[in-house]
Amino acid sequence: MADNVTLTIDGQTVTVAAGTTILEAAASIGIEIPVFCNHPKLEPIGACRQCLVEVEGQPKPIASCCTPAAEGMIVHTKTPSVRQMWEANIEFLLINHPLDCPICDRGGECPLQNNTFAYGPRDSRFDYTKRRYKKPVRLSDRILLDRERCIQCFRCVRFQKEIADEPDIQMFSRGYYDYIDTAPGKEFESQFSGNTIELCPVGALTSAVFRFKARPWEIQSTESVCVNCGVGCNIRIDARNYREVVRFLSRENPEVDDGWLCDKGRFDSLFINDKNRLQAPLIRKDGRLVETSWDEALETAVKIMKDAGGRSAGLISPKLTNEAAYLFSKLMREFGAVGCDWNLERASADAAVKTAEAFSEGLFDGAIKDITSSTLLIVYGSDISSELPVMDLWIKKAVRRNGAELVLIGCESSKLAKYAKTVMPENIESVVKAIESSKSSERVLIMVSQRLVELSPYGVEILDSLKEIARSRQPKVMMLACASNSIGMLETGAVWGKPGSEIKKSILDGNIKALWVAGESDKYAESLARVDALIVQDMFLTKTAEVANIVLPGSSFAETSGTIINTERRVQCINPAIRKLRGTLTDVEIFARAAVKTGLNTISQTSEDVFKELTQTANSFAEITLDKIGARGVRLEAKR
Amino acid sequence: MSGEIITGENIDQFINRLEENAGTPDAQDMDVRIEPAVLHKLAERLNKSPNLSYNYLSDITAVDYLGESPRFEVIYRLYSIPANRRLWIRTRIDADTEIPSTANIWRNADWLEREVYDMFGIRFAGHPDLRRILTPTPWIGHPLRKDHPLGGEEVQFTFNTGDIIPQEEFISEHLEGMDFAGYIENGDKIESEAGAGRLAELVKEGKLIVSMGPQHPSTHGVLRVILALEGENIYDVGMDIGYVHTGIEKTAESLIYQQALTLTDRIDYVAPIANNLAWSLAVEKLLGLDIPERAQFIRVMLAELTRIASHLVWLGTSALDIGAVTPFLYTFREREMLLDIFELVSGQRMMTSYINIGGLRDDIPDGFIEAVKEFIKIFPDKLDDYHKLLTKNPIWVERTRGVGCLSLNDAINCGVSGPVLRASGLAWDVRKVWPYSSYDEFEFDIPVGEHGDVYDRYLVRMEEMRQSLRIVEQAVNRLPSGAWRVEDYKLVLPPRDRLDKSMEALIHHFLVSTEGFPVPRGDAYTATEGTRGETGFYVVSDGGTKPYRARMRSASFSTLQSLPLMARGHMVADMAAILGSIDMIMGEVDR
Repeated sequence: MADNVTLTIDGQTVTVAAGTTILEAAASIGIEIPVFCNHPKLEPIGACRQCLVEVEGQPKPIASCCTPAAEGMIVHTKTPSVRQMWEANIEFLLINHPLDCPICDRGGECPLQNNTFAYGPRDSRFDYTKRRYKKPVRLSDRILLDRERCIQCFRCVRFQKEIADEPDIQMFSRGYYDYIDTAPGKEFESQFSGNTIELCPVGALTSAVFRFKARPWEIQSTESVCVNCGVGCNIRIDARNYREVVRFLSRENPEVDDGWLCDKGRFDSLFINDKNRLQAPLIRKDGRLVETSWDEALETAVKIMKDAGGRSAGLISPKLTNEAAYLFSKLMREFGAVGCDWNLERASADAAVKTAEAFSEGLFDGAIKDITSSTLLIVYGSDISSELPVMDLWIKKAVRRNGAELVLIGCESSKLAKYAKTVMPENIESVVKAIESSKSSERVLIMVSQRLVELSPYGVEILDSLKEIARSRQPKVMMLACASNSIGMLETGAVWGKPGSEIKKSILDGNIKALWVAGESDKYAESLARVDALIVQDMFLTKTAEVANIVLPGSSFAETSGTIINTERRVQCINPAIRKLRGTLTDVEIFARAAVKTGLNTISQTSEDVFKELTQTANSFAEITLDKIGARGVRLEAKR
Repeated sequence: MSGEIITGENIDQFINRLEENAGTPDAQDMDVRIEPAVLHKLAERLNKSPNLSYNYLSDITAVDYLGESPRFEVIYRLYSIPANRRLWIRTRIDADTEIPSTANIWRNADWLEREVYDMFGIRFAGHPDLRRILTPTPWIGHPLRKDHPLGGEEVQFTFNTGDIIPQEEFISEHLEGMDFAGYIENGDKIESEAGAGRLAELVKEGKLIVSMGPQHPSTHGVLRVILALEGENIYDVGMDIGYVHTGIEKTAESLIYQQALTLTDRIDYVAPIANNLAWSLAVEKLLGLDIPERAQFIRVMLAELTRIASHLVWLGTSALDIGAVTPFLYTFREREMLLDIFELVSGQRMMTSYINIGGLRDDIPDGFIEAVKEFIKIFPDKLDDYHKLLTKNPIWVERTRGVGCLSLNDAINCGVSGPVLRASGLAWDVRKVWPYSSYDEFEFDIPVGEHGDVYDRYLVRMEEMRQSLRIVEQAVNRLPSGAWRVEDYKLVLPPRDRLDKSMEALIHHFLVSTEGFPVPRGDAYTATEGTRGETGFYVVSDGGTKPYRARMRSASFSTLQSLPLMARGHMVADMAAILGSIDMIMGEVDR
């Protein structure tokens, strides 16, 4: 058939799709060929020459990474001459490589080391002086460059050009004088720069944040999910000696992050190691906050909320897990609170109700991977590049590689504007127009900001229009989540009673006597400071906490287990990488203990138990099990 | 016979084939796989048939191939001593399958099967007393299984003080269900229930049960001998071992091969270099390495000096136990010279880890040959001095002649090796039978006894020291120049001066030190003549850098089982003499 090609590698026949490289064909039957410049997500360039193989009938060795397999090809990778080529190539690469292993962060997880051990020479024949550079070079506050270690594979340059389309770094000069640099006076600004650290096969590009913190064998890795935005990129949290989180790495989920991680997720979460983290509950006595026991703190908090009764409210951070949100909501109901929400902007309760309906009716059925299979992408009301960075990469992929059309509705100053065919004013009519002027054969994905749908005054109207569009044109529709679990807040029933904006008004009118704020307590500091009795649950002594009556020290996402729901309604598990900081409790533990003190004795006490309860009580969780979630997550489905 | 599995169907044919081919070269080393059900029948024929006479059971051990089905492989190693043949029998079973016990065919199968049961949970049907042997009675679980929890008590440093799991929590988390407190309280009751009620019987018959040990100067280590006495006469002897069990075989599975080497020093801790050699040979077999001649000769030199050093300990302490105080000081004076030599060569007096995989840790330093020559010069006279003190000493003769006799048949049937076997009348020494590390290039004799009593064992070891010295002298005189290890930096560390000049050397140093070198898949066993007898490591590799299974065939383990045969009918006071003459090391017995 014209579509398939059959070739022989090391005596084994294999049939592959036309266009498959020899390297890929070999990998498909378990034959390993060493590479440096090749990477499955980047276009092959044949720069490093490591992957050379013998092809019968060819006078010279062939670079298997950039040569398509041909019908009847006979390839050899195990002959003495191929092994000699591999050894010689490594010898060449090592000639100018500095003897940095003892001080290089890559040592122990270094492709150059590993390939040298597997295929390279045992000792050096090089007696001369290696080329020297000043080092390290600070490319940004996150990335350090060591030019001596660079083996000129171009992976970093290609990533910035092909994937991020932010070519902040380039290779200058020629031959073995090649070196990486930024434009004069500029830094390596791209918000995806951290990916080059993982791509770099040597210790040339390293993390300034992780520098010298740990050796790979001291590290214990945990699979988890980033909570910095609504994409929920899969990550690997590395802790040293079970004690301290030292770095965050990508963990490829082909359907969520395509193997990438933005710099926020990679570098910003280390605040959890800050020395100023609270380690004991605080209670206000004689006007001052003093340390106290968990029992006293929780008992007092419960009393404060109960006494306030219908003049109490609950505010929860949308980064907390489903299990935490579920328990918090129960707790607030027990107090008779006037409302429970995750923001103080929500205009009306109707939009929340209608959004929940829309969820269960299957309106929001768009998945992240629909981005690259759609021909028309409509982004309404969100600056994706700053709110959901890795989605920016997906959209760039769709537009640049697959020729998809992008329509930006609002956010004309977004970085994506330059890829948009049209930029329209931010309102639902623009969406309707964009749909109507499109061909009926287009595969459409509408991405609409959660802020507009749930929080803005126009939410109901937007939903109605979307439902109309959905009926007539069947596009995929995806909500662009405001935070890592803002969708989960609604799904677990943690949004009820007075909506956020009304809670805020009540506070400012002096009608909220007590408020329990769980997480991100500095977000609405000014408003919250007006509440008489504040119970603040946070990791740090924020401005809000400083004026609270009770301060409860919480654990971080790296010390907790639970589930969160991302922008495409995928439920994923976060897992603890280290033990809770001494003196803190997880959110679930805090809420469960508080609930017991209110008399709710049969309340679930652990994340696992709450999750089980969720699967039994919340409709959308009905089919979900922890097994199904696994390491990749599973999307909540609802049929339209 | 490769690939064939012996079952009830073809066992008769198999045995007939074996008998027919008995004299051929193919029969020298065989490896067969069988169904467990035919084991006993096969074992009997192998042992009894005069053509085959596999009369010596070297080892029974198991490997947990978790994930495969059947899960466990149980391996028997048999020797036919008359014909110098070796036979491996393997069988694969699941956790709930029982294997027939062979304890009534080869006596040392008793403890070997108990250890396999203890460590793997494999049951042997028909075993006289199948209970734990190395782990304490209340232990739950089978430690060498791959899914046995590895939990460890966290080591306290300054950074984690206050953060450590408190002791009570650790105990309940990791040792849940193991009732040590109850065991200590009810110890007597439990002990009499153990031993299949044997002790209770003996008590009923009016015997006095006395524990000799575990803390006792004459038990040569932490051994509990349970004596059933009629007055001063020993009616029967039982043993309780496992006091020094530190899980070395399990620990080795978490270490890279070079690190596991450092564990081996501590097994037979009186002859550490011998263990290093046994380990290195087994791993080198898997790697397919040829060790340079100079390294082999130095290995022989050190192994024999270690034999002398170990025998000096034996001589001094076992004489001391019987009451002859004088020799002890003299033997330890000579031993000091040897310890100085070991320190000269490695920096360590005892746990040298000097013999490494691939050769040696370093070349011998200046002064080494001179020190060895000095020892060679003075030692023969010292040996004569020891003889003068003991050999014709009437008290010594009275305390050792005719005491603790072990017949040759019993010895072979118990899997006894080393000086004890030779004292019982058989000139069987691994260095001669299956030479390793260039031993076939040396001239030496094997001293043999006649009566198999304590006195003969004394004479055999005394002569062994002389013969070992003879080997050392030859090695010194004929020491070749050349490489002292396999110079392959993918296995051994490059010289330090290459580390600031050679990128390749630095990379290899980094990876070989941190990750270790991979060893090809497979398994291997190399027997050596340790100071106490046949010592060897059975190593299984899964292709990684850490041993999948590291089993030590310990000479003392099998030899110690013959103690009741030696002790019955003697008097309590003879126990010291008999125990001394066995020269077992509990570190090797318990691992």
